[in-house]
Amino acid sequence: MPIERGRPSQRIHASGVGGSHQSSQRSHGRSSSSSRTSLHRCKDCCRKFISLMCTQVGVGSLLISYAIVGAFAFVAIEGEMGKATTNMTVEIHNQTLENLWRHTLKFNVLNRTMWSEEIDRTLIIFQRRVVKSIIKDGYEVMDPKDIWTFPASLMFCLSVFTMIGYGHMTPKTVPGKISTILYAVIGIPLYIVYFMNMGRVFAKTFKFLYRSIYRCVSQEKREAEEEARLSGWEEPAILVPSTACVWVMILYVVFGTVMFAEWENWSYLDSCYFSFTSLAKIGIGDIVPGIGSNGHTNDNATKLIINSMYLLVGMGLIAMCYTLMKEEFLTKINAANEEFKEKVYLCGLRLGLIVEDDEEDDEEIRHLPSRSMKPNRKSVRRR
Amino acid sequence: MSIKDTRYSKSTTPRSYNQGVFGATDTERKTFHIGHHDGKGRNPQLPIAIDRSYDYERGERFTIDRDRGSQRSRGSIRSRGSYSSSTHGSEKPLQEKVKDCCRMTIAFIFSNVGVCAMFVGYTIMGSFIFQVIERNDDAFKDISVEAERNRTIAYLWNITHHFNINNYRGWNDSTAVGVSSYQKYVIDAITRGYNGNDNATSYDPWSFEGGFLYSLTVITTIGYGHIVPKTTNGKIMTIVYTIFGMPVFLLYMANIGDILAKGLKWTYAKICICRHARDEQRYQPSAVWRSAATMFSSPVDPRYPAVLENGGGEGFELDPGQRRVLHTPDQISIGSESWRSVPSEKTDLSSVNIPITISLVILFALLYGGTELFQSFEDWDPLTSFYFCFISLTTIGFGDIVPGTSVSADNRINFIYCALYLMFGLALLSMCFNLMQEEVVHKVTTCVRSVTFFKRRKELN
Repeated sequence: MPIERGRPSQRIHASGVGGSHQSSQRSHGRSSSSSRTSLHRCKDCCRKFISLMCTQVGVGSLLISYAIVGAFAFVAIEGEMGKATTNMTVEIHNQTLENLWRHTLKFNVLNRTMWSEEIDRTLIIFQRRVVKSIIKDGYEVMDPKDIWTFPASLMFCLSVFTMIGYGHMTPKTVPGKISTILYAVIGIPLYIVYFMNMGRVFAKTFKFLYRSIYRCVSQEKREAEEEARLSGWEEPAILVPSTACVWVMILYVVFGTVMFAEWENWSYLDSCYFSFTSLAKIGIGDIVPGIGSNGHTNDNATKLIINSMYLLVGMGLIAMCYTLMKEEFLTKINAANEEFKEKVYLCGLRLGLIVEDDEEDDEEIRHLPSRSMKPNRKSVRRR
Repeated sequence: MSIKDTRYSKSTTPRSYNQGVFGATDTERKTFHIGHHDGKGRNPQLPIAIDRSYDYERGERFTIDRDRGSQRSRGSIRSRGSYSSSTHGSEKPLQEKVKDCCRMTIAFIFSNVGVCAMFVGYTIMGSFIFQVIERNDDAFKDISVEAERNRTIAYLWNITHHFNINNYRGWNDSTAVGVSSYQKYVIDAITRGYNGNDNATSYDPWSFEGGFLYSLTVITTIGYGHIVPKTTNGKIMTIVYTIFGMPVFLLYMANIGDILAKGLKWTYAKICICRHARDEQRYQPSAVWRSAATMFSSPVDPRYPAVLENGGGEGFELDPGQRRVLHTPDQISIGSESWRSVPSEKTDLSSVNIPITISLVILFALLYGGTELFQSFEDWDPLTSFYFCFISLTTIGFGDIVPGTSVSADNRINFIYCALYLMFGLALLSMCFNLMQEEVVHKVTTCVRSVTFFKRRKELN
């Protein structure tokens, strides 16, 4: 320990990982011998890094850093390259103005009907081009630099790898689309690992909490349990009922509803609708916090970041509910199965279809594997 | 758990052996059961196999008969019950009939066809519901691009009249303002669902097709957002609809995925029959190992230590020998005609493992097929089409590109094609992931097993 005090990073690592105490001890023993080569040190570092990466903290930080890297990448790709479409729309605008002037010059103020027809035609062409550039080429009213700010881009990355996909901002350029695909291909498995991990951690925590609350509430049962434990019985596993999970989810949605409604001045329904569709991964994207009504990104980046945290934690909670519900379901199914078997057996006995000598058969069956396999074992040894 | 119970557990849940959730005796028996099942696949006439495993095989046949006997007896219970009920069927009370009817309906709903029908029916129902709710919304009634254009023309005429052609600068500035406001109006209309058709008053995003695609994207959690509910009722309905729809979708996906996986496995087994047969021989001993591994590595079971002390260790030691015996006929029979003349009639589908490469090929074929399909329906370039398929199948669903919303034509029928592609594609996707997972798990267990085997062998030596 005295040596370890001089290496705070190692100590933190050991306490953070918990399970890798041995490895840190090993490395510390090796370091005291002072004959460690740089290769060894490198290997040690790698090992530590990998073991850290396999923990919840590692996966979480990996995912967050992945999101941050992606955010920067998309700011660079879309912010720079999305300018082309904007310029094109400005061009359409100017061309239309030129055309209008030409027609005006041609007819002047003398022939109103002819002038109106020509202007109408020009405007229809203009309208078609605008519609095409918006729907097909994805022209935005705003400068892409204003849209693809860092927090907005972070939100975009999050919506890609969590598979929510709000679609309030989308890549318009070819490199942007390709990098979105690649980003999703790597990000989604990473996210799933995070999802599973968080689910386990939250499930454990929630179970612990539930158990302690349960014990506090039912004092009598606790005493009975104490007695049971004293007399050598195993502590009965307390299952978290799925209604508790449902309550947790409802509370979380309500929390989100209130939070977003206060911040964004949304109605409670809109806020609830947003929280629900986000947590269910639908992500319709007609209302997204941090984005004003007409597409203007608000300055408060903290909102977007807190929204991302809300989503990530919410996904963890969903995973938790999933884990706990599955556990409960399996236990119940097992219990039902055994009950059913018992019933079938009793029924069979009553009908006389199962004779008592069954037991002997089963005894025989039980002994069969050993009897039949013994020679084989000998044969192996002989060889 | 008593021994008698295990018999029933075995026969009622024949595929549960790798779950490790049953009792100790159960596990033990499973090991054995699979063991003699291996023997069944082999040709018993092979000379070398016989003298080594004669005892083993006789015992095995014995138990098979036992097993069948028990099954028969169980079957007769059931049939007798049904017989008695059918003979008294004529004077059965109405309540019984209703109960029977209910039971049959529920059984049908949970069959494959029922699940599919339920899924499609639920989506169609959603389509009608949203149509009814959102049609009342008059957000689209005031979208009239034509009227706005006429207004703009009048405005421009005023400007022209005012400035005449002598003041170009003043005319240009004012016209720019007019055109810009017109552009803004068009953009606003587009974000509200205008798709470029001039008769915008008759344009209705909540047509049957649109509603169908909307309900589908909501319950599959894709959520394009190309059309969104505007009314309060629509939003509440979306939430309620999702709560009930998502389990239906998951059920559908699991069911169809299962059917597709079975079909693929069957095809794979038929096409690569020779390879499959060899694979089977290679894999089936591994089943024994797997069960042994579950026996040793399932700390979930509280009775686990008992197994270890009683029969488990013994069973484990025996396994290498068994493996050896099972391999002997394999090596000999590969070239022999007699072995091939006995094709495995009933290929056990659960033992077929589809390689990951095939799953990946199917995934890419799915993406490529979608790309080609939408390229032909819409005038998209390949990248856009691929991007759309990818974003949809991963259930990200940005909704920036959706078929059926193109400017040029009124092709809303493409919504339906898109919906069908999604229904099929998501099921296929889930199938592929299941197969890949199965394969990976199988590979890992094989690896772990061989490691433990060699460790064990070292100890034995």
